[in-house]
Amino acid sequence: MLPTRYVANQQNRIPGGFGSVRPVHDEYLDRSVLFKSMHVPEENAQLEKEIRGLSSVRSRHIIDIYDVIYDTHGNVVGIIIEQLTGRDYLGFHTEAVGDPVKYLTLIYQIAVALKDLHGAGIVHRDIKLENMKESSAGILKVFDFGISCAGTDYHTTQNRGTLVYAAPELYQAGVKITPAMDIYALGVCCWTLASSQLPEILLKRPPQTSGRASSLQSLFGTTINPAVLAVLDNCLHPDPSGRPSAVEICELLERHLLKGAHRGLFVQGSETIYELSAEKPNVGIKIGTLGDLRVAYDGLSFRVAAVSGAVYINNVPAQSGAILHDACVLTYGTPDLGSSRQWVTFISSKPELVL
Amino acid sequence: MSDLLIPNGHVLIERYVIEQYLTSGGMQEVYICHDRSLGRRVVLKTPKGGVSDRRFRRGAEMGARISHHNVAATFDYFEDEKRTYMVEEFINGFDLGKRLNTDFYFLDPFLAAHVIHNIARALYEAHRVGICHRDLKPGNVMTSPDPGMRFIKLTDFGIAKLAEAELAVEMQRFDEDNSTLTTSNTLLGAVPYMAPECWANWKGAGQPMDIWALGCIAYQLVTGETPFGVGRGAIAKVVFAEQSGKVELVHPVAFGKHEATAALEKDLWSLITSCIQVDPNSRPTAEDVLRSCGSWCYSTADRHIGVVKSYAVPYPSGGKSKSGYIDDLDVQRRLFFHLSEFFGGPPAVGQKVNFSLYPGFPHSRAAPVLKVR
Repeated sequence: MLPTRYVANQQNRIPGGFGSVRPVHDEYLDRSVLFKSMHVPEENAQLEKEIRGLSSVRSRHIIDIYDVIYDTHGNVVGIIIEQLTGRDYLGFHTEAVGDPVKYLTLIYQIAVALKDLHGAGIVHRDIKLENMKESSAGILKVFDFGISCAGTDYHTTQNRGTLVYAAPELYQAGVKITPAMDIYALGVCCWTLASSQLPEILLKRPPQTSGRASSLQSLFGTTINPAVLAVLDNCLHPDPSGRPSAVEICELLERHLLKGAHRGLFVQGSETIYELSAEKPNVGIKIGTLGDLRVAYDGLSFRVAAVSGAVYINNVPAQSGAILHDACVLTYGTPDLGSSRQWVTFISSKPELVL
Repeated sequence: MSDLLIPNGHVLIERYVIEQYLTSGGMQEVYICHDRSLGRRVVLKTPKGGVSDRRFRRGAEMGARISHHNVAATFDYFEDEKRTYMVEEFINGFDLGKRLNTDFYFLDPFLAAHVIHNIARALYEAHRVGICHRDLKPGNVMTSPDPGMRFIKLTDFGIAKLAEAELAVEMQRFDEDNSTLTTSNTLLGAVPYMAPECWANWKGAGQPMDIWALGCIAYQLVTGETPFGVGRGAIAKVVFAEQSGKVELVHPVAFGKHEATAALEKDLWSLITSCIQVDPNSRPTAEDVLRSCGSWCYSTADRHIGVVKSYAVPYPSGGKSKSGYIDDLDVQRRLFFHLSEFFGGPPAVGQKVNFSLYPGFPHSRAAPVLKVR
């Protein structure tokens, strides 16, 4: 049934819920790929969904699909997809608490996959640890789009996702499928990636009817910023509209993954008069009798700690607590002083997150 | 050309429908196709003149070994009676060589750092699985079409393999007859980025030759020129460097004029000089380069295109301001900018510019501002 270019390896099939996956060797490109087929032909609709889901959006965090296998009648009987040869995450929970940066990087990559999918109008519907793996390049990739759906008006007749990852609203009959369901599943991943035991309340069917799950803070304490944990906790919000979007999670994690890596430069004329960094997070810039501005870097942003005299940020009087945007101009001295005022430019930069 | 191009609408192996002939850069024909099986747009590449070549397949296999978003994905390979073909992901955008010809004179340090960092990531991945590109040059780096070139992908490992063979032949011919240089496009294209050890022993040159090429690309990004020039003059300079054992590079004229990017300029220059070293063993590995890039601090804020509307407005009290205004070309807005953040100066009214923008009052501020074509 398989075209001759694909040669079965000695390795065995990997059975899944509805189909099986078998490594095969692509003779034309001399690489190992996966052949996925369904146990029974009636389930081939799932393959169609895989094809649509995988080919309509390309994301760096979703596996590549290469080929479709047809039978002699022209029906789809299998697909050829990328084989991920890196690690899986089933045992990551033993490492998570000791490596919060890697933990957040994994959550970030899942969120990017969801951002790309949701942006293309696709809901995955089966987000769980078993459906993600690392490529040989160390990149997390999501797979198994067998029950994914596209479009905005899909109502489920039957919940086919994995139960513990199922959002509470999925327990209602005929509920409309929304991206918030993937976010809920991401919230469960935040737990399964970090602990071998889920909070009891998440195991109920439906989950969380008697209250909310405890916070991830119980696992991570202060090693992860509470603002980040609060957003991740909210992925499990019983009300779908209370859950963050994939875009919000991505932006938040991008900022936090670069925590402490920023550099804030104060330039007056052609000289750097001060540089803020994690090593030197506080500065006071006093110019004559015109004014004095104290700025502090807390790892994420640069904020005005104190101000005295006449100091303006982008022509607006500086106030304590105000954030210095990535590039702005500080002016010392009131406007009536004209060209006797002094200007300091502030510019912040950081490493680029290149996975 | 003796062989005709594949016509639009033609279907290959009952799967790929030719949509549009794209280009024939050097040694291959490139077509945009529709993949019927997967319902998506792809790119089809086939060696020019219908060459049926084992080496092209070897190149496709090499590309297929790499799975990373900074490298164009290899989707398929097939042959028919006459030709060999490779199917690659369709990338919306332009190659870096084209960008440098039509959009940019050179890049400001932030933009240069972003491009170099992403090329380095691709190269690290290729070297990690034992592949040497051997024809790394701006023409093989794809960029997304936005002004900030957010997405960067390395491409054409396949043709590189083919090029390698042809280059070997060309270099042999050049040895025998120096006028060959002007007739071989392949050789001409590769020369500005070719490490000195390639002239002595082409086959023996390994991954360090990619690092030399990366250094040359980085130099070109920050200066707008290749480090040794082009053509026969370039070969002479590289051969001279090889004989003397050292390289003399002209320091970028644009460097040393902006305090805000002074540290990054030092980082960039340090990378360039470490990669463009005569002794291949003295050059950093792709891993070293990637680690350096990861330590650089630069802004990757969105970029926009605009036009300088006014600059150096005279003060009533005499003297001129060192600031001006830019009109965004895509959105109706006016931005303030200062000379200290202008690259490619001095600014002049009517100049087209590429910039990031930040909140400001009464106008948003543009910084950095890069003069573009």
